[in-house]
Amino acid sequence: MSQPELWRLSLREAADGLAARTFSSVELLDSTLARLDQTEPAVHAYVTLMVDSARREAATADDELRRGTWRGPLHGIPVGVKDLLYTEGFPTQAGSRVLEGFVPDHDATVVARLKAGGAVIVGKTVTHEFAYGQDVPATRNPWNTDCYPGGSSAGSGVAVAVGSAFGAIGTDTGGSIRVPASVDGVVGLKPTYGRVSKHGVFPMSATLDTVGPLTRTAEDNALLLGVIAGHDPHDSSSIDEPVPDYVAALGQGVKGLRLGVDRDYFFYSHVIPDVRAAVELAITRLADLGADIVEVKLPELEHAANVGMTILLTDTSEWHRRLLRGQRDKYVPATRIMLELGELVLGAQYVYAQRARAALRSTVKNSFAKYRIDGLVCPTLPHTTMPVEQLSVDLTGEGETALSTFLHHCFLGNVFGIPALSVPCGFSSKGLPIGMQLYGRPFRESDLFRVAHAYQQVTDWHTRRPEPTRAQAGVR
Amino acid sequence: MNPKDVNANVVRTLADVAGISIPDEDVEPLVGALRNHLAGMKALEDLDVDEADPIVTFDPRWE
Repeated sequence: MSQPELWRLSLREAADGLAARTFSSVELLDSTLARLDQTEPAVHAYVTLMVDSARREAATADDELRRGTWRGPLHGIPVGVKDLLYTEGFPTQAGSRVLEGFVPDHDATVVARLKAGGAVIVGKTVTHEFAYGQDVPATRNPWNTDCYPGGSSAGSGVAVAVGSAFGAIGTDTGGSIRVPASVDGVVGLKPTYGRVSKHGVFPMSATLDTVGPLTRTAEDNALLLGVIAGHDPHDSSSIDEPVPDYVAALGQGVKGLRLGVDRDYFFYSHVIPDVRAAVELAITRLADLGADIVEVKLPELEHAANVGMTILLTDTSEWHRRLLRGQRDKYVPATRIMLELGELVLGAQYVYAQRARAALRSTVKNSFAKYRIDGLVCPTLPHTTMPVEQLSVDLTGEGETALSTFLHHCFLGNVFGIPALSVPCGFSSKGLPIGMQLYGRPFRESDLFRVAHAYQQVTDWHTRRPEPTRAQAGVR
Repeated sequence: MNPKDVNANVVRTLADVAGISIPDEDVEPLVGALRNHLAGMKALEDLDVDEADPIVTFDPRWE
């Protein structure tokens, strides 16, 4: 592969090439930055570029490799970081005017771990304001630039899809990694709650927030998670569980894994035919590969979004309490309304939601035991992306909106704290990506990677790359 | 409260209790949003939560 085309490699291929000295980290970065220059005017994935420091990091990575030092699979690999995570010496504004001019004096733990692992940080990726998903940022979907890129980790999903990063970090409180992964055609993991440190990450909800990787392949995701996962004494919610070798488990395949399909909940009337067909075909593929597909019914899932929304509203407004009173007019109006709404939720309602959450979590655990399943498989979303002007994230009216369908499919992962992975599984008749979602037992990310990796060995959806242009049309 | 009974006065009263001032243009959207929130809470009422403790963290240890 010629130097200009290096951005097309998977993270694993790039890591292998660096380790074998087939090319250098500086060359890998040059290719990535050239691709970024080519695509950024159309997709706006980055809010802050860190080119000078990235060049220094790449040169250091090459020096270390020449001296025989290899820091691991991210050594010399260009990555992006969502602008919700602290980056020492670089602006961190969470997509909001409220934080204009804020430059952290330390790195988020995840950023520090990326650096310790030798990663080259290309820049900060675009997020919706404070990850609330209420505003429409400048980022556009690379498969059709009239369309929504997903959120709130919009820039991270798009950067990975177009090749202006080999991997990126996102955050997920109700689907914010999995939604962009699905609509941008990449792999996105919401890890088990407490698996990845949240220290140095602007919060929404202390008990729903997670930080995770977006990549082009399941194997890349496993590599990236292996670097950022693990206990952090700076994060009181971080859980001290051993971090397994996620990559080593990939070769085990899916034989013997039992995956539940709840058609009542996940294949309801809002699932469009293209998505239904693609995910059903993917499930058949998994069965062909040796997975046991089990029809299940988990009626308790119906309550997850109501429980999660009450917790999310209240927790987020509590954190923004002082800012809302002091800088109200700097928020985007739609974000401000959500923060005001959270102030109106009563304390007893919040505690009841947390009690209901505990009861439902117990029921979900019992259902996994009753059906003897290792996970669930479903569409990540009931639809593909849509033109930005058709996107409805408004929760003030009656009826279903895009946001409420996102929450229907994704919120349960956060409410119950279980891992969830979105994997590309096809394209619609309009050429837009479709995602399959896998849910697993707590701390069993390895199971999800096994399934996704086996699936990617027999399909090529993850190898297709968009060529975004500024003037695109045709979806309407 | 029945979600349908939420109106601008209810929103303004709750905002006063919370200690926030709400711009006039936010009141109407908040009426709809609060109705949806209360409808969501109502949907949870029939759950059996007697045996469940709320998911909050508290650790009395000093070390």
